[in-house]
Amino acid sequence: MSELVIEMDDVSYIYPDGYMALQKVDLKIAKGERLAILGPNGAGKSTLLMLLNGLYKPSEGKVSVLGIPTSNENLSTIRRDVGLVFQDPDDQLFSPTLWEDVCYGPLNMGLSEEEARRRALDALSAVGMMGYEEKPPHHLSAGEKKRAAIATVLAMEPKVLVLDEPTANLDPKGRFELMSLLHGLRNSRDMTFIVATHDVNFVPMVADRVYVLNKGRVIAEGSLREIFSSQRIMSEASLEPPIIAQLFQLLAAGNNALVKSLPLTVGEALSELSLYYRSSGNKSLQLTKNC
Amino acid sequence: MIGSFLKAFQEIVYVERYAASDGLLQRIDPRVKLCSVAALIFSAVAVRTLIPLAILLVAVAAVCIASKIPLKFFFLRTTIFIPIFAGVIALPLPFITLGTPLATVGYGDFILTVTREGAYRAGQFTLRVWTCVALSILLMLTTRFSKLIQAMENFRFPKVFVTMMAVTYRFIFLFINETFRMALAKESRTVTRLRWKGNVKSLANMIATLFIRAHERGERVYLAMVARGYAGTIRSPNTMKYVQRDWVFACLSILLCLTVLSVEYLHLGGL
Repeated sequence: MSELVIEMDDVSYIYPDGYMALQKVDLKIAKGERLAILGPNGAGKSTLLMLLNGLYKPSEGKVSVLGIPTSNENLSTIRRDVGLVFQDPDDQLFSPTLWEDVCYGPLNMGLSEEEARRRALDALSAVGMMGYEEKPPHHLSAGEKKRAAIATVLAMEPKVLVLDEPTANLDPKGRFELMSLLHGLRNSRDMTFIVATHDVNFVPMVADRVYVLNKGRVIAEGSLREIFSSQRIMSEASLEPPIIAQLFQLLAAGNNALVKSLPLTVGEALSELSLYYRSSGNKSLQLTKNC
Repeated sequence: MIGSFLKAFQEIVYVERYAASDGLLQRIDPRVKLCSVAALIFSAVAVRTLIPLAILLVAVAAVCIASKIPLKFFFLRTTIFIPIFAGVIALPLPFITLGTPLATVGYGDFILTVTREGAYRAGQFTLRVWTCVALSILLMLTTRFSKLIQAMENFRFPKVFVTMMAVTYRFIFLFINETFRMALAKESRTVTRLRWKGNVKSLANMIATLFIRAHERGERVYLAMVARGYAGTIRSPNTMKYVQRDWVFACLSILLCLTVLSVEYLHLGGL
């Protein structure tokens, strides 16, 4: 395994009211990975993310970021390296204008105004929000707010980008734009991505590996296909596989030859189907090439 | 009803329609504007006769036109606030001030006399408040709120005060909208008319819920700030620069203040 970016070792977290949000979580994330933390509401996903950035300290166990433990004296380094995008952009965007919000992180890092300006411009252009600098956040749409929130973190040029329920409250357009943005970032920046979500259809678009969390415990870890094809894991975590996978599981039940590897996205389903029809000599699916 | 009230309020506070146009005041540095308006308000408060106030009002109207704000709109916006600020104090003045009687109202033993001096005092007071309100509204209409906050920061206003202003402005409508949604949700489940006591109780519940939500939101915003390195002070980018026209405007404002004060204290106006 290449260099570890995040390492959680036997981590438990207990809230001040005694609620145990995480129990003995072990987690390892390598540099450049795209990881999803999947789990139903209340599974402890957000708590886990707060631990990555040092906002919460583990009640038991150890959290390390790039080999450095998340103790008080390392917090400034860790917060620079791990950029956390909150679920509700209204929590994240608190300044009177977007520009001030994007500059907030870099200026807090002690960078010069010139450098903060460069980074802010770079982050705004990366999320396609140039020209919105002087806008107050309350004048932005939900999708724009989400992209703006990502920009505020990108401006800190983190090594790890952590997103909490990024598709929450987004309409289809906002969702699509977010997906393209994450793809673009993946191609243009050398970052590790961690996405916490219960949106199973979104996971295959943004992750290659999954940790499944339920009631504060990691109940499974593996590749997308391993996780989504396991009936046991899905029902234990009260989740369902992506809708495409469900369809193909049903189709495969009647025709074993149809599915060689379980498709999780529309694109994968199309190539799977065209392979099947080509091998069975049927030309009727050629239309799909235009899709 | 609540909906339309909220919308109107939102329009007044949030829509920065005139702040975005390129009129005279919009181009002036917010720091200069803030100081000028403060000085002019000070002058307005310091004078007691009508002519200096009239001079100020004419100047405000002229600047208003130069700043591309329709006078009718401006007039209406300023007069809305007059009854709130001045009405309560100005209304009894004509009756309680001693002087030459002008007219009497009421009958029997209840006779109120309006005096010439009283009417003058009431008029002068209302005009003074109106001038101050007009000046403040002119500043608000032509300046983005974020710029005002920056100007305050620049003048080293107490950090806590500036941060509180900024955060209040950012979140107040989030909470007003939340209240509105809660009221709607309650309304949608209200079948019979609640008695007064029931209404008060549900209002109290709503206030308590809102308080908890505000507290939770505050916690989350704080965490989001800490996640980006907040450690007690907010550093904002400084994007403001004085240019020549700012100095010219500042000089003109000082000149106007001096004119108003000299008309008042050197008795140049006559009245």
